[in-house]
Amino acid sequence: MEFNIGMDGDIVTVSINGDLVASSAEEFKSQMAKLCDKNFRFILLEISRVGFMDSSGLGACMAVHKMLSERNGMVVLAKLNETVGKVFRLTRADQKLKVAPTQQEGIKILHDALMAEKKK
Amino acid sequence: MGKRLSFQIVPTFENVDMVRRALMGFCRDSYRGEDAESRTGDLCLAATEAMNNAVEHSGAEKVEIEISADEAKVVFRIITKGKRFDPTVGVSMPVLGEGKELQEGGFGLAIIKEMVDSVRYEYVRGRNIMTLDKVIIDGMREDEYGI
Repeated sequence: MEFNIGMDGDIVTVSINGDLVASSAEEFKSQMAKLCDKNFRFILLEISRVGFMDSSGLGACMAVHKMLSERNGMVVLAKLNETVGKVFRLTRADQKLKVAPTQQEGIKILHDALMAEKKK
Repeated sequence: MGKRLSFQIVPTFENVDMVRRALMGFCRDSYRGEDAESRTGDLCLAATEAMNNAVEHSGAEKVEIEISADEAKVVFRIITKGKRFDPTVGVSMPVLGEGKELQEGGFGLAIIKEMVDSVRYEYVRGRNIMTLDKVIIDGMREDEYGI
């Protein structure tokens, strides 16, 4: 599993290349925890190159969602392919986690959340 | 003439990945038509969940895997030695969505039931045998291919 991390202000984009499954879920959570520890709270997960995801991978995404929510942050998953999208629809995780069809739309959701927070 | 592959693996998640890659190739050779990729993904997901379950819960030192196909279906069978454990009983999909507690696990067995056409469990001479079938031809009913 490869991670490509890009930063634009307070928003971090993490592009994942590889399968998000039981053998890689802990590494994924660990990488996300490192970002959280550095106070990055608004994260876009670009997962178009995740070819396969099982329930452990889904659980890892939920763990990241929980971790960021506890810090008043947000994770948005962008560009789910058909195989991964099916796992989300089947488990109704697409109703719980923020999912965007494109990277641009995902960044807009995070940007809007960040602006709303700054207005408070 | 049917095709057949078999493995005996130490139950680790890395070995699950290896078997899944083999299953994916096997399915791509077996399924045909516009649903081929979807059916391949469905069976690979169900099989992965079944193998993950064996890694996490069976306590077995070895796991046997058999993959076979004929004209009607691809069959994935996972066998573990040990005490009786029927994973197919009383499984329903955990409910997510607004207002529900966030759940990170418990989806595996429910996903298996959703992804394949048939799930069977047998306990034979100290061996737990779980069999998953995914049909090849659209619209084929269970009574037509003898499950």
